[in-house]
Amino acid sequence: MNNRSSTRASCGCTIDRLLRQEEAYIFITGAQKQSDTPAGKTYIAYNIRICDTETKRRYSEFESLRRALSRLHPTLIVPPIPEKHSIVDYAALQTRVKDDLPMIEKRKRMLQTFLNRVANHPELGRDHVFHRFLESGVAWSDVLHSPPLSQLPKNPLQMVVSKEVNAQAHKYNMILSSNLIPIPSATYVLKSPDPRFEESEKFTFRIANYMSNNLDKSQRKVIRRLGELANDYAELGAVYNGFSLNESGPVANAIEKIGQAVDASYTESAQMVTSLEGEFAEPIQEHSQFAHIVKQVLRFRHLKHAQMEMIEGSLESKKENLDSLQRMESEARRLEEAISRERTIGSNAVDIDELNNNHSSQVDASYPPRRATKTWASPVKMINAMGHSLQNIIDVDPEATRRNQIGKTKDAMDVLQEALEITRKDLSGASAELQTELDRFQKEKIKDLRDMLIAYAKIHIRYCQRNLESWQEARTEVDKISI
Amino acid sequence: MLNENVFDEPDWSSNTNGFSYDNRSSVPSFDPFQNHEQSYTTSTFEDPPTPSTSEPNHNSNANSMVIRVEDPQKQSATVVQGFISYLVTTETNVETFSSSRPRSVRRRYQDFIWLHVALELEYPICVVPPLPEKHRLGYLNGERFSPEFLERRRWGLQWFLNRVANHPVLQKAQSTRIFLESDDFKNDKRAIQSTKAVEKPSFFDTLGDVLMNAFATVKKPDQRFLDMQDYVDKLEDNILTIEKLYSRISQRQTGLIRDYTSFAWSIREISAMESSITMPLRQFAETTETYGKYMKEMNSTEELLFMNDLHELLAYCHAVKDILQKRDESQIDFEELSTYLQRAIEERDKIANSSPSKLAEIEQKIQELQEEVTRTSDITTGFSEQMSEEFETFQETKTAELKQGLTAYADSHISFYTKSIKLWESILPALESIKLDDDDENEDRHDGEYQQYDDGDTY
Repeated sequence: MNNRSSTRASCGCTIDRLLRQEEAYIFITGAQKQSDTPAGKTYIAYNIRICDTETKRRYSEFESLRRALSRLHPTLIVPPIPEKHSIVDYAALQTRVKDDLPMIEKRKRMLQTFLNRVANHPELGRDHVFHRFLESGVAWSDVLHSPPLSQLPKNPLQMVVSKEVNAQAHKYNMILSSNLIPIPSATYVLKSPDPRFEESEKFTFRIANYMSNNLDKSQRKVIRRLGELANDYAELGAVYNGFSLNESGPVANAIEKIGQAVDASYTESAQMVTSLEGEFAEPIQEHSQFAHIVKQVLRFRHLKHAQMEMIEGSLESKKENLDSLQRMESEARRLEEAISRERTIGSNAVDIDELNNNHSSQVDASYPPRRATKTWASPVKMINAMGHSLQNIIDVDPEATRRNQIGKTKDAMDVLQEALEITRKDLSGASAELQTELDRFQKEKIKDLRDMLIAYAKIHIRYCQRNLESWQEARTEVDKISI
Repeated sequence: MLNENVFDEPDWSSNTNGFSYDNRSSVPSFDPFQNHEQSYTTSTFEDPPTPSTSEPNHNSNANSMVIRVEDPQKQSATVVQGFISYLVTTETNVETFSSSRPRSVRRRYQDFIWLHVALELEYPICVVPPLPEKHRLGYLNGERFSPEFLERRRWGLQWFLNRVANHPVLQKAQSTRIFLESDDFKNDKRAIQSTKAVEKPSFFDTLGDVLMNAFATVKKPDQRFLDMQDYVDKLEDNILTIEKLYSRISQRQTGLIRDYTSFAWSIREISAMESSITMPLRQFAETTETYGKYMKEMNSTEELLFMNDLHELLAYCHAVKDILQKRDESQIDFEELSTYLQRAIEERDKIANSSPSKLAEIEQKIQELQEEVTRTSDITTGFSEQMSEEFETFQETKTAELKQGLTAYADSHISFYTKSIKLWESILPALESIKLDDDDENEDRHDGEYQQYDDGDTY
């Protein structure tokens, strides 16, 4: 377990201390079928052990944990868990999928890898929610219903993600949750995208595609075919054994030994399949999933950037509104002054209200929403503009309304301004964190690839060595045939 | 792109092709077996196989014989349909041969057929080795004289002559000598054909109205021959089962090679995307492809040197069964005739006193029958004795051929695994040298100061 320093203070709980120990490793030691009530549905509970403490969790809780970590840390690459059983799995197996032993073993392995990857992550490993998952006697539903999970906004874009702004996260989250803050749609195109991340996004897209469609498929084919060959060898070995029974002397011995060599090929091939599954196929699967996770994380940053741009836009249009309102206000005031001067001076009393009405409607008429296209672009702005005209149509006291609007707009601008500052800082912090995370992940990936490929080679070496031995024995026996 | 490489020639140093052994029937002691080595090319068929570095023939026994079939050449003048002739070289110390020095002649496939027929006629109770089947070689891909076709046929002919050479009786046959030696083959073979005894008229033709029981079986079966029959049947079954299973395995192995190759391709694609480990990944891809190549070589060798072996043995089994059947038939002949004789005697005894004319007739018949019974008895006895010898020859040949085949089989695997171990071991240094940055694990790290991997291809 690495002890890299993190920007987050550690929670100091028992689990945390355990994890920080050297060589601490999380084991999934078993899987048991159980149910909550005597007549209830059964599920598989996985036994998790670190050093001396043990706890049990089921698959759905792992899923829940992962989802929680992703929501708490949208800029971090949260490791994948083995996928849910697909319909194909259900269809292909004779027994109920849940009972299938190899499936259960595979899940055990992959869930164990998941927990250790999380534990090794400099940020995620320190997460207290993660610790509570590992703690015995903690009901997961409790964790879900208490902070911080209970306080998470629905949309991660409504919260501060960067650790730098963490100090006032709570207050800032409130600001971001305001319905003034726009939520960008997935198709939003950035006005000034970050070239570094643009590049990353392109690359990630390509590699994610490639991993799942090509590499994963092709390596699985090899393994499957090896399994089929293993069965063929078993049959052939039996045939040779039968053959040897019809012969006698050294010929019989030689054929029998050949049969044994072929049998050994069967055993070794089956063993190779198992080893490749665990040491190669599963990591490839993980990295396939990882590629998609990185995509998601990059997309989140992209949306945060989009959000910032939208807030800027929103702020600008509010400013324009304010300007126009204030212009109207000052116009109205000048008019009032002029009229009141006239009133006190002459008898050409004009109906002030009428004048006001005419004037303001004239004024309104000459202040149609400019840049029509852009204004209509955002629903918020559109409603504002409409409201503006509507109010004037039905307004009884335009002055008061206008002053009201000015006030509201100013308030909104304050909120937006603050949000913009928060978001800018957050985006910059998140971008930096994300870049760090990408670098860290890249290293992890290279290390994993290296380990996988070495394992692949070593498994083949072992396979060939063992086979070589048995075939050499057979050859020796064949040599003994005298003619 | 993927290359269909021409494979390296496998290592054949221990392969045995021609083999000679002592004739057990003439010399009681058992002389050491002689191995002659010949190399077979599996890929380049244009070159004739290189002559073996044969051990000096220190078996001065009169019955050693080594024949080589090689150098297929197209012979045709202006004829549209040319034919292929093979160089047949013999080295033997059989006395009837003109010299013990190596002697070469050119023969075509038809000549081999002639030899086969001649031997069957001359030695009806011997198991004459079968010729390579015409249909199996097939007219692959329409090309009548394609290299693969020629090689397979040459191989089959070599096999045939090896067996003839090792047969104590057939190696000394006149037809064999003419085939192996004659410079004027056309005329010589015509000469002995005229002296060949045409099939003797069957006695049964003269019996006229006698009905032979076409479905007769041997009344007093000899356990020896039952055992032989049983053994050959089981051997055939075993070989057939192996052949069937092997064809399935061969297909799957081919599939596996394809799978490894596509996998290698995928790795190569990834190598283009991961710029920090491009080289090691590429090398890994190459390693995987080479592994597939080695597998293909192993499969070819298995097929050529072992499965072929088994197939030839199967044909030999058929030939043995034919002779066993003929022997049975001769015994049936004898037994049937004995029965007739018995009946005739009984009949004579019955009419002993009644009609003298008929009596004479029957006595005549009895006389003839007795002669025939004696004749067939001799035939059957001779046949049976020879059968035991033939079976011995067959067993020895089978043992030698099996040893050769199993050796090649084991060697092809040993070679594959040995090469593969070296191959996979050679990639380990490249992989292990992939740099990871966890040496500075315990240092303080500043955000953003991580080492950037080369270009923008990576994150």
